[in-house]
Amino acid sequence: MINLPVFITRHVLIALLLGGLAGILFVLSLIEFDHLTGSEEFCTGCHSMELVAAPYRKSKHYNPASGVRASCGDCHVSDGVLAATWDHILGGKDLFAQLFGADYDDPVINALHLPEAAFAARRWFKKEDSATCRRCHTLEAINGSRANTLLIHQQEAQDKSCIDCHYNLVHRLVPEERTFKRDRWNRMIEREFDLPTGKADELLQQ
Amino acid sequence: MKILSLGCKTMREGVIASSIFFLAGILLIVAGSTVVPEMFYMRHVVMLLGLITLLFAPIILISTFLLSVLPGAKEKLEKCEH
Repeated sequence: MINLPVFITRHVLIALLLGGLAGILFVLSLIEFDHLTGSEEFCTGCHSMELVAAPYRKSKHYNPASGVRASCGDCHVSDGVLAATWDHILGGKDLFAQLFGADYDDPVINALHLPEAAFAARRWFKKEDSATCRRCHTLEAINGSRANTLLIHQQEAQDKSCIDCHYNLVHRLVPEERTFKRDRWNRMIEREFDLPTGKADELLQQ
Repeated sequence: MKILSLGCKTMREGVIASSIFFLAGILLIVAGSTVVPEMFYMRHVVMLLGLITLLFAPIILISTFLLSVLPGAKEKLEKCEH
């Protein structure tokens, strides 16, 4: 005869039941939270993100021939409820910057700060080994329309991450970090928005 | 180290506080996704507050549990059993 543990009383049973239900509700809430906050509608609720989303809406990731549309969260939020929740907690600093930082809603300020944001995003993709790209793209299945696409992805892509070669696909073009020249970028933004020379540096320092 | 001393009252307070944070977190997330208007980033702020509040619930509950298994806590908590 097995000796059953005597500490299991009616109160323990009730606590287990309530704790179990609360645990299920907790995980479901996190999943729903990640789903809601990874949507394009939520992200573009900030005007600054609307500026970033404009090029995205003209990209292949928004309007692919297959009709498979990647939303903000599909690329910028990790897979799995724990990792996604952690990403959203870290994302809180972006909300803090939006509320108390520079005026990112201003297209000029937004464009001036864009390179740092792009470099940070690329570093994140690299750190994650482009895991969010791999949600949809399978390396072994990439054939492409050009003859050498298959070979490139089978041989040259070894020990490389998607982001090493594929960037500037969705948002405004930003040069590679190693070749980026802040001075040239500022002059380009000044020409684009008809600003006097040196105004971009001044705005960036404010 | 008195703060680490857990009695019946503080243990119950921990469980109740955890429940309040849990419910408040869910309510904030639901409110943020449905009724809060999209002005002054209120929706984003409410959703983030909801997430943080929700995450505090298990943290408080686990902390309460850990304090209840510290040496010396058992004698005090035996009085809570009925």
